[in-house]
Amino acid sequence: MEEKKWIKAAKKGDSQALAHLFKESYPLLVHYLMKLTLNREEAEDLAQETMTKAIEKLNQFQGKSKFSTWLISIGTKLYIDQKRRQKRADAFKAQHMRKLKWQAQSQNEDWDFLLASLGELEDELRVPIILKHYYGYAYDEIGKMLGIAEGTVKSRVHRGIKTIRKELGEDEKGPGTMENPIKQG
Amino acid sequence: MRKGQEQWKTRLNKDEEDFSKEIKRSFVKFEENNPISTPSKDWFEKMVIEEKGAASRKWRKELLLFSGIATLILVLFFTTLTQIPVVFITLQGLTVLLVICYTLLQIQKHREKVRHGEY
Repeated sequence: MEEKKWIKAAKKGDSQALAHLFKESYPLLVHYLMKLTLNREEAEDLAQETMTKAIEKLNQFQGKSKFSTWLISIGTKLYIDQKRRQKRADAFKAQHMRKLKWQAQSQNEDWDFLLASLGELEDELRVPIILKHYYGYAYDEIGKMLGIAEGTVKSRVHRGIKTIRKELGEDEKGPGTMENPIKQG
Repeated sequence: MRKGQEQWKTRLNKDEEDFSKEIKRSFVKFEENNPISTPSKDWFEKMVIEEKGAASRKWRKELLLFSGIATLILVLFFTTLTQIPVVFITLQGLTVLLVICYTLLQIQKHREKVRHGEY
């Protein structure tokens, strides 16, 4: 069955259809939220909260975008709200970064400096970069998801990339090089 | 001038393409290192039924609260209007003042948000 048919059935009150839609979108949603939170447990909790919100708002979903895109949009807003409420958000982020670094070291893998720099970015720059450069959403779609103008999304993406490049010491080298500036070992 | 702008745009696009490739590679690795398991269809069905029930209960509770407050306001409104007009006029004045203060506060908050570029 096509996604639109599942959505139609779910809107009519079919719980099985809604469960199917959630199951299909779950891996994408949790992976996306993991990229925001840098923590699996937090991402899973946020995904649960996103699905609860989606159940409440299902009648407002017009079906113009994919169901997973709609969930990502809800999840992003919930994440931003949660971060505003959390006074110790930065401390949590630093803790998650340390955990990831430890994880990489314990698996004998190189620490990913690009992800580390991205993790250090403010959310208002990081979220549009992830949506644009990993998920491939258009600037106008991201603007709608975040409730900001398309031009603002563009400038935040450019500013974010510039900050990361600066952090990685690549400004002087010019574009097109993203090798780690710090050698391991 | 135009040629220079085009060259700059091409460089910027190329720059972003390279960045895109790098970020994809990093995140693919990140996903591989942090695998997730999707719960069974039964779990999702149970969750949907439970959440629908909770949403329905919440809606009923809110509707009841809204009706209660609306009734209280109407009773107060008509009682003061017919029994004690002085209190009625004072309350009206206070309400207008409160609305003006609240609106001004919201405008100020909005301006601050715009200044800081928040979404």
